[in-house]
Amino acid sequence: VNDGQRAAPVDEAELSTLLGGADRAGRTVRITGGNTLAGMGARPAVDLEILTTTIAGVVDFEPDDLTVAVLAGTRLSELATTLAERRQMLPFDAPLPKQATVGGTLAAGWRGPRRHVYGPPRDWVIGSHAVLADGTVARAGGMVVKNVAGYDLSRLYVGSFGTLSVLVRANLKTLPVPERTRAFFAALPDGSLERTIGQLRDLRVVPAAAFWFDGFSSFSWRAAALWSTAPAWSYARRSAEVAFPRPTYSTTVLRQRWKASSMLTYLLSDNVRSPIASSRCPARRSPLPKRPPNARAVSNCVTSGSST
Amino acid sequence: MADSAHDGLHRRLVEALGAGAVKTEPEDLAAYSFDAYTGGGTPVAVVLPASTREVSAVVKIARDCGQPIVARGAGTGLCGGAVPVAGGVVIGTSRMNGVLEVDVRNRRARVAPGLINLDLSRAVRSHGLFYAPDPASQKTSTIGGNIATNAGGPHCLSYGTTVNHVLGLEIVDADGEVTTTSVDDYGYDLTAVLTGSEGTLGIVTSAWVRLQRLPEAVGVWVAAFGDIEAASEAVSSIIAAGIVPTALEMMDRVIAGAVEAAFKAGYPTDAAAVLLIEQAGYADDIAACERAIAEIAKQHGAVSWRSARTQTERDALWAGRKGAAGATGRIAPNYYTQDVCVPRSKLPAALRVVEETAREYDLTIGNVFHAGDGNLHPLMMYDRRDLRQVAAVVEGGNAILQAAIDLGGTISGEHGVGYEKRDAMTRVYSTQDLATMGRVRDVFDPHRSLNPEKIFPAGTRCAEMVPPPQ
Repeated sequence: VNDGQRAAPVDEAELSTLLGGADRAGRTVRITGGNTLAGMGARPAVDLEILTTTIAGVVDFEPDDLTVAVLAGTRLSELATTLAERRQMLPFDAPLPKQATVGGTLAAGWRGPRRHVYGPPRDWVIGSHAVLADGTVARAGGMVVKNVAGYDLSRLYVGSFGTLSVLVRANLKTLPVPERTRAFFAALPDGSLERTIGQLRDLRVVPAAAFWFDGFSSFSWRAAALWSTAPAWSYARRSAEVAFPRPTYSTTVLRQRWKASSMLTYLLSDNVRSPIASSRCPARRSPLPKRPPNARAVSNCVTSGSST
Repeated sequence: MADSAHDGLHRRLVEALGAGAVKTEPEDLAAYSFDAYTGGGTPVAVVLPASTREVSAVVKIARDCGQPIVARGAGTGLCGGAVPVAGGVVIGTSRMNGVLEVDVRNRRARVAPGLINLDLSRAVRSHGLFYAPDPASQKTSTIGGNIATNAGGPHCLSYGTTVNHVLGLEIVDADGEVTTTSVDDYGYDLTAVLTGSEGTLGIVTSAWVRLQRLPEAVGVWVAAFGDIEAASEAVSSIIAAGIVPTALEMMDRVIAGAVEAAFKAGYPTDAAAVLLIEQAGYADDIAACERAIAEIAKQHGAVSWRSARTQTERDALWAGRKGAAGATGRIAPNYYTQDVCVPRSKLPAALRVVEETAREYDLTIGNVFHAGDGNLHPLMMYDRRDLRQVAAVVEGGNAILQAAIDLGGTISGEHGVGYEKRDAMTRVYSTQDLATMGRVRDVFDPHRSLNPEKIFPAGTRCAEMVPPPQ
């Protein structure tokens, strides 16, 4: 596609030529990936829209090294499928993974629900190929998991919304898939947010993600089950399913203990630090510890995923 | 004795900081001329500010006097990053060494740059927390220096390097202005690019860092192997099996012998290679983890497997590991550490090169390194009075560096580029790559007054590095 307003380069060299030409002609450019997060900011009128979806593919998957190199236009679902074949994953958790691209997800600095335990996407980036506005092709980092050679430009590009460079290729660390993942949700009364966060924080296991939904009073606990398919939650759920060839994922509805006006739902990945270890301890399946309300004030940090 | 040419500078620094915080006598300057790298350079003045405001004042005075600035933590860096090779003013952070705030609820702390790494973990231990990045120098190295080099350490295998643990920074920029960054802010992730920039983009005056909850259980195991290649293949197999232990370290016979002589830490001295493996997690998981790793070790011909039973035994093993470089003093008066990182599956090949290098250059090389990350640290023993040995170390170190690059690796895994490896940057990056980094430098420090002659290859100013417009 190249009708003057839109272009779809097929590789790094073509992208470099396009950007260099636009720069010299003083034309403004917008970079578009899967177009799933375009609502995150204003969309100013531009002279040229460049699609990255034609620069796609997993170029170098090294399962034994737990690293992967992927082109920017690769869909998140395609990357997840490739990794899942070797029981590996990346915790990006962006919406619409069949449309969303790796480049777009990184450019937007999307922070999915599981960032609570896995950190933001930039923590998984170890190298990059990028094209600057003048057409310069610049690499940074490499395919090793520890690298302090020069400035960490790859991480700088994450969250820069294509204003510093166009990402062409990202080198990423991957993770072994946790042996089991489970989601829980609980209906809770008014005024229990702080106490719940405190209890969640002090749980023996660390939840991979947690959401808080306000305004739950009109739902019965049966309706609560439907929440597991609510869009926000399903990002995490879907990536958990993608990562799991077998249906080891299950949802548990807790007994309603109070008149509910809010709901908490959270996801447990067994032992992020040691994926081979299994969960047998029944205590870990009890999501809310049975102990007196915790009066200590806590901040919202644990549920920071709730707004996404 | 103060050089009269710098009287104006010295007077203004004393006015701003007081005489006690400004060092200008030759013996003081000499003490700040070196770090743990071999080369040195003499500063014009050394200042020991006590606050962000004082750091800002020093930067402004130095700028007015046309003097470059070198920030310095504990001087434990191995690549000459804190050496004032272009003279100028050294800012020592040793008086800014406090834990400024501990936010237990959110598991984070704000610290001053001169705080010693281990002191942070000690300070928050009573809250059940610790600071994860643990370079072997953690008893002396500072958080500010760790941020400058994006320091690693044995536990970075599972917890990530320093950049994964810095949540926000307060910096003094090249103009002496104070700026703060936070990973939670929208906009550019300046925290990420400042971490690992080796003091060339700004001077960190305080940092918010992430704290971790202490694990409820820890297993530490020692596996011995009949040859080093089998041990490195075991490491590759552990990672390939999808097991990422908390730490996965290797040491060879040369190092294990020196460590045992110095510390009696509990390592076998008759094995060609020893793996030190740690897994932290839930108490009921540790046994299953031990079985899985021990099984892989056995498949690769491990001749023994030992589990540290008590905290004392675990501490002794770690003290031996972290004191390994010092223990080599029993082998030779000097050592040079090469710091390269290769893809983990290339570990056996990289170790073969190290062995060949030792043979070819007739050197004693000890290996003690972060095997799980593919991060090698061949320790090349020498006597600096013997010029043949010095030449052999330089050439042998270069051969290992080149081999790592050829295996798809990098020139530094965690020690930094600094002064030592700046010319090697051209071996892994193109002119355009380096020019792009130069453009970032110019945004922060257009006059290149912050830690000059570091990271970027010698003789390159930005104007020379940026390719002409096409």
